[in-house]
Amino acid sequence: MKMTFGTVLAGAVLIVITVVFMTVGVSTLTFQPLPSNAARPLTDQEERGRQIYMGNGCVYCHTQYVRPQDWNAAGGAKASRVAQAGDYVFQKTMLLGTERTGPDLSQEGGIHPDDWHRAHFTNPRYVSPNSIMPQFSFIQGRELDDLIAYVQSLGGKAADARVAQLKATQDTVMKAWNTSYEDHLAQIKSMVPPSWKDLKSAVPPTTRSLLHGKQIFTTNCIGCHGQYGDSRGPASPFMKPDPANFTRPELQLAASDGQYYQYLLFGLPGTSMPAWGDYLTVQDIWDVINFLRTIPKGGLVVPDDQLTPALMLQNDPVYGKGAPGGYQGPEPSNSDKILDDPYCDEKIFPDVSVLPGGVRPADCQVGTGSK
Amino acid sequence: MTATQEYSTGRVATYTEEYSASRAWIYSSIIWLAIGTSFALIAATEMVSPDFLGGISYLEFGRIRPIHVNSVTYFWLSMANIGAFYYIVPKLTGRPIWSEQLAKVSMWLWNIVGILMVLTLAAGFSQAREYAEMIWPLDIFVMIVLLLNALNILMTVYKRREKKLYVSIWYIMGSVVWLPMVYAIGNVIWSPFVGNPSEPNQNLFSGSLAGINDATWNWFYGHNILGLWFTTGGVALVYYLVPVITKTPIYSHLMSMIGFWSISLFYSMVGQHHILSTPTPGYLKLIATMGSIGMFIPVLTFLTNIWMTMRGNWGRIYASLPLKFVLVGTVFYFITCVQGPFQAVQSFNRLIHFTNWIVGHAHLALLGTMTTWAMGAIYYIIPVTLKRRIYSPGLAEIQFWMVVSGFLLIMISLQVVGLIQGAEWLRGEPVYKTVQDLKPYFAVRAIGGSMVVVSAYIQAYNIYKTVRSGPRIQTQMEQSLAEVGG
Repeated sequence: MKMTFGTVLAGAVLIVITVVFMTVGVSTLTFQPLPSNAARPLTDQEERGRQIYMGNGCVYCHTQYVRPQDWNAAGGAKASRVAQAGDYVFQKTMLLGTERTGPDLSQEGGIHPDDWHRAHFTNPRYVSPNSIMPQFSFIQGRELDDLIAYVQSLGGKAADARVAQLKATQDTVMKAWNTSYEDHLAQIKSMVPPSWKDLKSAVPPTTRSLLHGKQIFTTNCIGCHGQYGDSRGPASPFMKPDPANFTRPELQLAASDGQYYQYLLFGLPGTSMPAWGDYLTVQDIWDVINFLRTIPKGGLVVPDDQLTPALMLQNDPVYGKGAPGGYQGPEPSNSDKILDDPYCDEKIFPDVSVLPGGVRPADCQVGTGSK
Repeated sequence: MTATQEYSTGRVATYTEEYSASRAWIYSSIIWLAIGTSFALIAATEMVSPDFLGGISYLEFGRIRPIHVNSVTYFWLSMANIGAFYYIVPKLTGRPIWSEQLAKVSMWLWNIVGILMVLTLAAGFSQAREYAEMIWPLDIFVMIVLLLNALNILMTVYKRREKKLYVSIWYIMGSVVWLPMVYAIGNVIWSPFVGNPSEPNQNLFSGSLAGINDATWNWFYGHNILGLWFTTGGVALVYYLVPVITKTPIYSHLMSMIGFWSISLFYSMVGQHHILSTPTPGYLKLIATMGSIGMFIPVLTFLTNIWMTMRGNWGRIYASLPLKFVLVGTVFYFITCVQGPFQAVQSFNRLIHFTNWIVGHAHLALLGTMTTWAMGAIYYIIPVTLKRRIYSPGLAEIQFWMVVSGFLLIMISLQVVGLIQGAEWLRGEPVYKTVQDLKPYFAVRAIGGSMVVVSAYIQAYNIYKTVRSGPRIQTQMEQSLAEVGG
């Protein structure tokens, strides 16, 4: 083959044009998906927010499509949805993204309330301490409203339903909040299913549990609840109602372990408290709940070596008895020692036959459940 | 017949004017490398310490990143390649460039586009299409410059003295024609508006279509810009430099031809492999995967051809700095093109898609491969055309080791953490949890990045000093030595 000027030029152009026509050309002519059941056009405000999203390069870290294998990429178990071609028909300029440094946002609408987003855009570490997202404190006023409106629209009609529910719950919560603190406590308690209310911490409040709980609290919670647990975290000015003030005994006494567990697992609807069920394990959650009970007596202030079960509220002479239907404290037990060797404890292993070798360890002290 | 004989006929006024357009493009490119890598270092630091420079809108990560990408692709690599074309094309066609003046004008226009690119992106005007962030008015500007360049180079080749077209010329002709085609198609420049143009704030000059097909257009562009511009441009440089420096004819003409025609066929097919798991037509994904695997043909023919040309010449890499840059680049090119096809296969794509593995791969191609090729070309072309020896070969050695080891730190840290991210996501861990795993690797990446920044500044300093006070090449022997990259 002789490579002349004409051969090279015409060959190069024709091959590429043919291939591009076969691929993008033919697919654009033949592939015109119908709108999916979630798709809807954006409002003018949401479209303005979308342009702020584009201009600030959000697309470099946040994807907007969930693959079949990504069951925990967007909104966790709450709102996962595998992307469909029809979800995008009304959008111009695809913001699918190719990097997932931060979470997928295709179902972000209605996962967090506006208050949370306001704090998060001002400084993401206020509400997500591990985040490496930049501050967007320079986006303010109407621009911030537009951006939040866009983020709340992600997910289309499914997001609209979540947002509507969020707003309705928020109204109920705020009504009680504006009446009195007691009404607030009663109202948030009424949102917990009855079977959860009487649940007691499944993890014995050992020193180790409290220390682990403190670690989780200080790495995840102080942005809103404050470094003293007094609801004065940097994110709290953005939030209504205020984040829980754990130094108040009346809150601690009104809320049962199961109630806290529900809030941590699924979030507290109508407030900015997000769901932590995707991030924390069951053990983590119970450890944090055990630790919360030490905050009124200085759990966040005392040195680690003084953080013992003695600091917990149920061991306090004044509040120890708890309120009716509220916090009663864990079952009295020498639970610190249980961890020495659970095989010694008749309560944990009443049946000897399930133990290794069918006998309790020889050095168990009879009747005390420890060595 | 060479261009040096040309000036005796009076077409080029003085000797120092010869190849001045080539050098002008190269000087600009060197400055843009320093700019582009500096922005990269800011961005990498922000990834480690997000509140560093926090709250300054025009230095926010999402605005810096496209400035970095566009600076190093369009304004470092493209300018260096075009500068090298303006040297190679006259050499291989036996005549000066068609219009030296036009080449310089396009250089200035290109720099103006670059400055406008930095300003608009920093101000938050972006198309949000990866590799195509420049807004629509700049797209038009870009197209004008690209067409002027294509015209200049094609006219030079068309009116050549040397009848036979060497393989580098095929690649250069292909590249300069493909780039404007790919750019116009990928930027959808006939459809400039997003939303309603009459509504305030709704007129971003995006250049895009509605619906999921827009992603297909974007990514055919996104990969063709690499495949049909940076790769083919770089391959043209290597096909020129290696035979010239080693004074060895290219190993196989047939392999060159297979490589050229197969790269234009297979590389234009692969775009969809960037969005393999999207709800887009299945046949596009099939074509993309097949094309990606087919890429082994042009890659292996090219590398075999170059490495076989090097038979008996490998000792030259100790004596010739340009050759050292170029051959290290070919090794990285091999790794790039082994990774690429595997990444395009669904089963491996499941693991590494969306992760930092891809960022590492992008740096492997554009930093490890193309940048070292371009640096090699610069260290060859500047002494030969300027008749000055390099001011400090020692500094150039330091630059070589800084850019290679800095790049390796970047690539290895990103690809390791990419595998970690991918494995955790498949296990069902939420993204918020895997973000914590990135931090130490991002710190390593920033360290590697700072080494690349240092090498960019060393290159700028060394070339500047060479132009100002590099030792003049006086004897015929020194000139011959320069022409073999010594």
